[in-house]
Amino acid sequence: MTDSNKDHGVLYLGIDLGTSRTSVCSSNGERATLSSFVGYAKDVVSRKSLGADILYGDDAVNKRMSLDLYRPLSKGVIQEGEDTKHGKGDKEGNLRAAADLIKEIIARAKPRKDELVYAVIGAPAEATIHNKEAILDAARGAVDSVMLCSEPFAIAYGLDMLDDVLVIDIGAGTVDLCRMHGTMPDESDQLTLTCGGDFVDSAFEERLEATLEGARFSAKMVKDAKERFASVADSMEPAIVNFPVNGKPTTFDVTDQLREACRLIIPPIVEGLGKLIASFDPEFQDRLKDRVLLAGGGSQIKGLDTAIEACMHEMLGRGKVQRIEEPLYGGANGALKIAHDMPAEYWEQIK
Amino acid sequence: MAKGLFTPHEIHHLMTAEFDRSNRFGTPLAFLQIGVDRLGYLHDLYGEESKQEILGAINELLRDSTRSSDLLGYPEGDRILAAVPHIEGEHANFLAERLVSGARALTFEADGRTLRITVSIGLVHTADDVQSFDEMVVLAREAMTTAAEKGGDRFLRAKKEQPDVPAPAMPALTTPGSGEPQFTDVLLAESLKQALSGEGGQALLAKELLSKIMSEVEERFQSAGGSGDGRHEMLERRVAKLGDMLSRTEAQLRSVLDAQADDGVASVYQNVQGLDASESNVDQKKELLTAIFDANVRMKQIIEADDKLTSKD
Repeated sequence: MTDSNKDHGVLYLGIDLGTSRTSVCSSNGERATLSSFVGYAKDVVSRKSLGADILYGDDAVNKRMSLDLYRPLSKGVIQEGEDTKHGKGDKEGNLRAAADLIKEIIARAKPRKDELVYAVIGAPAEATIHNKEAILDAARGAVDSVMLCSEPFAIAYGLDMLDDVLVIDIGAGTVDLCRMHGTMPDESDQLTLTCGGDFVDSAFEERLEATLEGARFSAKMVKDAKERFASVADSMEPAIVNFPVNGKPTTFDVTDQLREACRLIIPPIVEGLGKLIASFDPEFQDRLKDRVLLAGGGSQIKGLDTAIEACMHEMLGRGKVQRIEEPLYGGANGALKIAHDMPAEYWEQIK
Repeated sequence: MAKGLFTPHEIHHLMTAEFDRSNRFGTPLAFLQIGVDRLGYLHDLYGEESKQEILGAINELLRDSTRSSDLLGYPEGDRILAAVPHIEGEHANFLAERLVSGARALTFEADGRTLRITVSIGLVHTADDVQSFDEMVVLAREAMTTAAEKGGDRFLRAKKEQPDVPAPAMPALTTPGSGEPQFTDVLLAESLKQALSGEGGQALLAKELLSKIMSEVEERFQSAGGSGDGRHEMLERRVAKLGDMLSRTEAQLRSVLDAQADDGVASVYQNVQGLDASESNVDQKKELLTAIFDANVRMKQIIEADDKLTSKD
């Protein structure tokens, strides 16, 4: 990106590049979120009927029959391997999709042509150098200067909670646990679990297949039902869905199946918290237990904060969990705060 | 807009649940009642089909103007009721304004004539100190009725009677019936000037809201017996920071307005929301930012070295 005509200030962006959703917060007040899907028209006919070469987010999912659909991130890093139910698996295609996704989310922040764009992107805590390189390559075409930072760190920074805090960031692919103690978290401060939103979807789908005789449903229908009703509470709002049986819409109560699937993530999370707490200075362990932040799209599961607290009481003796105010924008808000705070000379040097 | 899946009664129940959630977690929520001005008259002249087409177009306008995943709404008689979670008060004003101007731009064909419509909107926000969802519904209905009685083509944000605290008037964000495009640079500049003038406006309103939040937090803290609740501590810190940021943002924007230039206004935010030397943990933050920068430089060096090796091979 050239900056020869960019002499009218700087637009700062914070971007949360997630497996399921990608969000941006910008210093011009714009913010946007979209599902991390990119679809390319399969042929001339579909291109004409869609009226575009590329569709993004839910638009892409809804028109997936006419598209080569990609969900470029898997478990928080660039997808590579076999095709999955979420999208195609070829590396080249996923790299291209990641680049297009980043370009699109930046465009939604409405940068002006005459201003520099500096972005901080929250990357998964355990992403490899090559994955980070792929993310940086994807972003460089659309911004003038870019830095990466660990996603859970960005969340804590955005809330100004830098000392003795445990962050639980529940994404679609992974659950990142991060211990903050006033310095940059290193490897020993971070744990990545694979029981994210996709894991809940799979568990929920398995239970539906086992219990709903004759019902037909897609991965998207399962995910939609989860996002609408997900709860771990004993008395939750009834999860009533309509799935076709022999082509006829039929109503099912899937409350128990959903509750069971959602509850599966609690023990591994608390076990992970236990590991991070146990290796911390014993004098401050109780303080750490009382300052647990729950973030990420998965934190929207109703009653999850209370349930984790109860499990912590049982397994670790005590615990206090706070759900962050804006689960969808927590990472992007924090990344934007880092972008604001970063000295101008650092931005210049990293260009 | 949830439609067809639930009955209006169920949606009302979901809206109530959304209000409770908003109350519990302190997330913002706006509630709107939208009425088409003189709809009965249009119905009498052009029939039920035209009326339904108009209501359908307003529904669609509402869906297009909001994050559809968040929106809960349903038609009730000739009105449309909508709850929009996770929207700040100011943005709710903008949404209502967008709906008013969007409705004004709609056209319909009936009996060979082109029809134009206007709407009246009653808006209530959780920041307006409402105690229950039912109260929101009543306040929004009253505001919508008042807006319609004043000639329609406008929104009114409902305010509870608060005799002890004189509420500053909202700046004139709407220019009903003018037909001029809304929120052009000129209007925005005018709104900013009004908002920042010493006679009240949004700045005062925001300050007042902040002080109300502060006293509310204090009250809750004391009623909880002053226990060392981390949430209280966090809220108090954030309110104080926001108040400070607000003052500095006002000062910066004033200087931008005085200079009569908007070049790089977005960069203002690094000055007002960036690292502040008066923050207690500024040194710690500087260290952390340097660590992020160093890590990125190191990563860049590794990638470049790797690229060189690969190209040699």
